[in-house]
Amino acid sequence: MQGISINSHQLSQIIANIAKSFDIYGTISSNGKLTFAKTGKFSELIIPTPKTRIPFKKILWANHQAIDELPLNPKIKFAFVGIVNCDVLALDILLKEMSAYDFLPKREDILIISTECKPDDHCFCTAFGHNKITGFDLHIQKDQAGYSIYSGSKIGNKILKENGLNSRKLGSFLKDIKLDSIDKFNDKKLSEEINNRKDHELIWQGVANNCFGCGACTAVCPLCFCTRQDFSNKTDGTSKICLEWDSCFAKSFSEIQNHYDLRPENVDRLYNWYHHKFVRAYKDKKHFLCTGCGRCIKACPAHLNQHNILEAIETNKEVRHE
Amino acid sequence: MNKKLDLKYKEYSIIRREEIAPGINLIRLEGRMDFNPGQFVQVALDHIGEATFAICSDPHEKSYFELCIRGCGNTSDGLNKLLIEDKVKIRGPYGNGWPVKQLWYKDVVLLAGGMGLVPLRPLIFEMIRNRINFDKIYLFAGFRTADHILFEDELKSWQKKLTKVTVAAEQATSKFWGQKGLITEALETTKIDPKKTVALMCGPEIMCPFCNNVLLQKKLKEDQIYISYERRMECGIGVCQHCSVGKYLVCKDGPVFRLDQIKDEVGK
Repeated sequence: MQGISINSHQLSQIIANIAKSFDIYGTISSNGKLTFAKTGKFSELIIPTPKTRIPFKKILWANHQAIDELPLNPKIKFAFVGIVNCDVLALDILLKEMSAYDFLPKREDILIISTECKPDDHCFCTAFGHNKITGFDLHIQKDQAGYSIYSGSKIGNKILKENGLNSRKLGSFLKDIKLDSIDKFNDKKLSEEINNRKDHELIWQGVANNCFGCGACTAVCPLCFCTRQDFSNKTDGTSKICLEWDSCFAKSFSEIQNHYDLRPENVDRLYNWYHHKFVRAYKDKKHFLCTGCGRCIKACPAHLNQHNILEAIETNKEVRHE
Repeated sequence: MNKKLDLKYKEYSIIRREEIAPGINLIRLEGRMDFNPGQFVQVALDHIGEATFAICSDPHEKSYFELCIRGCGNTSDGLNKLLIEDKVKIRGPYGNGWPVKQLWYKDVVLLAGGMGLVPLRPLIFEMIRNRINFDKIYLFAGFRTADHILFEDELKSWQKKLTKVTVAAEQATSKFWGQKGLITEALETTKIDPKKTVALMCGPEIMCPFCNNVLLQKKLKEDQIYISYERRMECGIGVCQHCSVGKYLVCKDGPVFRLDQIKDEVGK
């Protein structure tokens, strides 16, 4: 796909026009840290875009969300600007997972303006075959002359038209994502191998022995949406039931009455994480709850590499350490 | 189009409260709850928390429903302290419940361990109401001690209405009218027809494999055995993943599962 060449002034104008009818969220630098937050200025957006530690889920599936404020029905629609391909895919999967519930806006109510990504050492999206940039309404890619902008939907076309980008000055072609030394998984085989826990018990045990069970991976994962009900008690005596982010690595996650724990060992909890992402979700909706964004690898204090673990399970070899 | 699942609560008032065993209260709530036997509700107590309870009253009762609360956590302890006219927030009912229609014209073996009798109670009411639809009905209810027997008067009255009611207690006093020991012992000595029997069980996790062994020895097939699972439920609608058993979620796909469907998933 060939884009339309635009300069930074035109891009700034497009963003400003979008900001008139949408609440814009994007990857910005705040106090020296990258964060996915509300913004309205083109100058704050970073392209090519590095990944923020916590993804878009903090907006759509917020921690401490009051139940009585659901469904999330913002007066002004969301525009996610500066969201990279793996997160666009993750957003789509999250909306599919939540499609049976009336909690989140529909995909057509969210404008997605993805940006060219800046892969780091932890990325492994191509292992799931996500080499092509997809799922966007508009996509922005940096090139020598400035930027190229691509439309992927009717609303994308409409925005380009409204911004006078009909007389096309053709820009560069849409780049594919290329990651060195990442082989594609066989999705079906991977799911089956993970489902056969007994066949890989030594690998799971080995990983669990090194895992701290801290739940950092679940906090940063765009597709970890486990919650627990909690009360937010206020000093005025009122109380609200909130959805708190929970981690399936937490010791109490599967505990029932009298402290009887159905997943007493770390290996049981760790296996459940992989089982949910690669077996339960795959059987249910034919997708994995992982897009290979690599946030879990970056966040892991025990330096566990989830990509290498998946590779070891798929091929039944020892986990690579690098 | 299916109704979208939500987390909306409704408030109910307590109209009756009775301690039926040490630390176990039967609370009656005013209002209609349209449910199938074996379904459960999520009960929230302001400032404290939320917990899961099986509804244990007659499903045909239109003016009230009942919950049996054993104090063993913050919410259940809090609920046990509530008095008449106090209000609680409830959402549900959730889950699939017992496969009532698949029991029609069959012999039914009901196996309850302790609080496991609670989700079976609505089914027993239902079966007594439509007794003609069922052939033989055997109830085996086991308790830790004779003091912990739940719904004792009803168990006695069910002896006349069901084919056989066996109440067993591991520790029994001389006044105990049931059988000392475990329900598996009573089950072993009971003659059942494997061709037309369906077994339903609910009880502590440890009880089920022992009961399954006896039933399988009696030539029942795995697809004739149903188990109601107890798992940690937070949302009750299949979002939070706390209650997963392998590929299933107990809140959404259960809590009642057929043994052949669930046996390979337990432990995953």
